[in-house]
Amino acid sequence: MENAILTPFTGFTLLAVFSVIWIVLGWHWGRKAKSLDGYMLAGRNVGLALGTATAMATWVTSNTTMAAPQLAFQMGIWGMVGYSLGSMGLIFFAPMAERIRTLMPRGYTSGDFVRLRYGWTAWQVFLLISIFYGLGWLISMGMAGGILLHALTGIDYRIGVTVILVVCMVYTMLGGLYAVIGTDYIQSMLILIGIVVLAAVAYVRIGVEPIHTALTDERPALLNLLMPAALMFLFNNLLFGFGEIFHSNVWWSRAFAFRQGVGFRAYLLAGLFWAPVPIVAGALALVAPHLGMNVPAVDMVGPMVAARLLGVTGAIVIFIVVFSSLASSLDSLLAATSDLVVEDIYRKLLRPRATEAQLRRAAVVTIALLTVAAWVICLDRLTHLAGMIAFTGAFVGSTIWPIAAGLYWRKTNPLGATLGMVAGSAVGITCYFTVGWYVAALVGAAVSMVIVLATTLAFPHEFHWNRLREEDAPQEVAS
Amino acid sequence: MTAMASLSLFGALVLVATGGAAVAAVVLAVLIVSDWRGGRLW
Repeated sequence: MENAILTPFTGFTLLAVFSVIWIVLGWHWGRKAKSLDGYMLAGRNVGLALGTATAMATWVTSNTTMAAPQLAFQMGIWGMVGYSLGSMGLIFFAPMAERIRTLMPRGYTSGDFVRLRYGWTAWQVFLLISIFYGLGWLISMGMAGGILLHALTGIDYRIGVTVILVVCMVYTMLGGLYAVIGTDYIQSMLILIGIVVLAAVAYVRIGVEPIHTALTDERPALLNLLMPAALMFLFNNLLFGFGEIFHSNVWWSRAFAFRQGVGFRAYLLAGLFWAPVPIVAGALALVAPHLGMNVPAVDMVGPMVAARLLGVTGAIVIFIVVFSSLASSLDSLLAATSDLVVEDIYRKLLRPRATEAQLRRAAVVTIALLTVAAWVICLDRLTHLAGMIAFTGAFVGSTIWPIAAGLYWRKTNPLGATLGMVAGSAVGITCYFTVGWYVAALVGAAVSMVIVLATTLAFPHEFHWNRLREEDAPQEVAS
Repeated sequence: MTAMASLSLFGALVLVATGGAAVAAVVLAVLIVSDWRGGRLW
């Protein structure tokens, strides 16, 4: 690439260094995973520091560090603040995490909850949504990794995608959730320190006033607090955050993995710590007009500004930040989606009497298959990152009410939950194509809410919470 | 909104967010040391 700041050699060197670090650490921590609970749920005893860091780092995806600058560049102040409202999902999940741990002390996945709470049909719909969303998220991050490497180092997009996916696959396979959570802590620190350094240098070196003046002169709409599309995006992103976190097994597996009493504090702190990240990343993009930069592809604006301001050092710092963001989410997603496939499909549908050893082998194979599936789709760069994420918004938005009502309201019934997910997804996707990408989650959640509330009031159900305590744990002895 | 108010809002947003991220890094560092010394990592 003509404008790449780092040479491909530097890029490959950085990739090699961090890949070795993650794989060695993954292997090291993975040695603790003696049992299936250890491999899938890190022994169900994760403390506050690691719990907070893993929840925060996982939610800082490549989309936060690359799409937040893109949204700031397109939607201004509200683009950044709107993205930041994604933190509310973590904060609102805090009490739910504690409740999940209490109601299902031996649970493995969010699918377990939907199956036990609503039965077979809702469970199948939920699995479709959850696995589709997981793959969509994997693909968007694989694409982001390829784009970043290409933008900063000139390394071929396909090589970048391949390396990032393979590295995350290897250490997740080696260490399971122990490896994921351990590396997440280091990655969260690298992300926070990296973005603080970049933003501080940019705004101290140039000054807030010149940056603001350039925005006022050249892109005044970015400072407009009444930009309609941006306001719509703000609410859409808020609901997207709720839907993603409430339904995804990435977050449920952590609720099961955290020690009793840790879940509430860990998710609350993670939400508070995550909130500033997209604003800081977005603020970096708003420096572009002052620098008079020509931005050929908006999803590259963050890396381009960092490289322009700080040269090789800036490019290296943002490389580390985005690589950490990618790895912290990719590993979590591989582990959690694999758990969902192994527990809900392999164990519950195909081999109910599978032993721990068989389940662990199935998890390793599933992680490899998920990586290959994401890799094949990533090879064609489909669309812009924000659009890619928003497409799945309708699906995740439709799960908010079935999950939240199902956890707290015993009268919510299977019919309402199933219809809410199906109709919310269908109408949300229709609006994605007919109105705009920024309304998909909003509409999906609204339709689902109306259906869940109406059916709960019309056909109240009496659910007993102790039915969530399933005790058919897999056998420890290998066959 | 006047130019000065817009500038103040923009500056405050950047300052609070950057400061907040810095505080988050410090708290995470303190928490890990505390959990490690107390044998509560995992």
